[in-house]
Amino acid sequence: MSEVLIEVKKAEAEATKIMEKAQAQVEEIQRNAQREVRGTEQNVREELTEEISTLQKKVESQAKTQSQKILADTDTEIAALEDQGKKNMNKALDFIIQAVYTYGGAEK
Amino acid sequence: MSESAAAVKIQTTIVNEAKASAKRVVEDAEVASRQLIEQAKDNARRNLAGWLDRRRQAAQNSGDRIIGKARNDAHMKLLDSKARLIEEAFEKAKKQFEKEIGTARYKTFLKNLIIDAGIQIGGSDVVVVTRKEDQATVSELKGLATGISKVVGQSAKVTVAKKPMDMIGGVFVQNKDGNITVDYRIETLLDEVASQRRTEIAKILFPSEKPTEPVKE
Repeated sequence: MSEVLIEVKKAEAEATKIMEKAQAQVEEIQRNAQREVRGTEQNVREELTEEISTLQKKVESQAKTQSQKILADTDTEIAALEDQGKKNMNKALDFIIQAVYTYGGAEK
Repeated sequence: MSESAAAVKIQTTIVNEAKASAKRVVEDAEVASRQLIEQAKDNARRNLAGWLDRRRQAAQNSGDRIIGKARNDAHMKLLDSKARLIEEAFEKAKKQFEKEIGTARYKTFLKNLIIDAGIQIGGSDVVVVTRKEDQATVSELKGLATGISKVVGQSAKVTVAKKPMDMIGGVFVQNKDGNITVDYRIETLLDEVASQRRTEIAKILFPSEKPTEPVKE
């Protein structure tokens, strides 16, 4: 057998090994991909759960801040209301007394 | 070219081609794998879209509930505060009435209440129950029976019950048998005013305040 033919045979054997190794790599890549695909819905659900949990914390934190403002504004409103009420107490008292005195036409 | 050099060249070419081909095959597999995974993720997101919307809405609802509760609490605090002041006005009114004994205005008031109650009872024997402090005043009132009989068209006799009643003022009027009664005690009249004229009283106490509406959840 000529030297060329021998070397070609060797090269073909090496090429075959290279391709077999590549094919093994491809199969490994495909197996890994299949494994990852199988867990995808669970992973996506976990990612989204985390996202929702963050959103919920944000929404609740904003709501609490807004609630505190509502209650603080109400306290201010109540303070003004009480001032007003105390200032007009005697007028209300006169009105009530008069309403009782005129009840059923008792006072014309 | 020697036979040996030609052999090396051929060998190198075959091996290099194999390496290049192997590299392409692996790269193609990696690309396909990434595509497969991305597609799976897209599918999963599509499948979970409804679930995600519900969870997002639930998160939003929990915020709305917190704010709704605060609005409701604020509304109740405001109402409580108004109610306290209105109640204070009525408490002052009670105290005021306790001091009204013997005034001309109060005497006329009692007289008119008794005549009105006597008319409602229908005349005949009219018994007036008062607090202890008013017994003498009511006994001295003139024209009660005439005032009643003029309207009902039959005679009327008005007597003051010997046993007083525990009340702020006003009168509790009944027929002889006690089965027809008219409650004109001050506390009853104050309750009437509280239920029928509360809005007017609130407007007097809080003139710049808008009417309070219930909070929508």
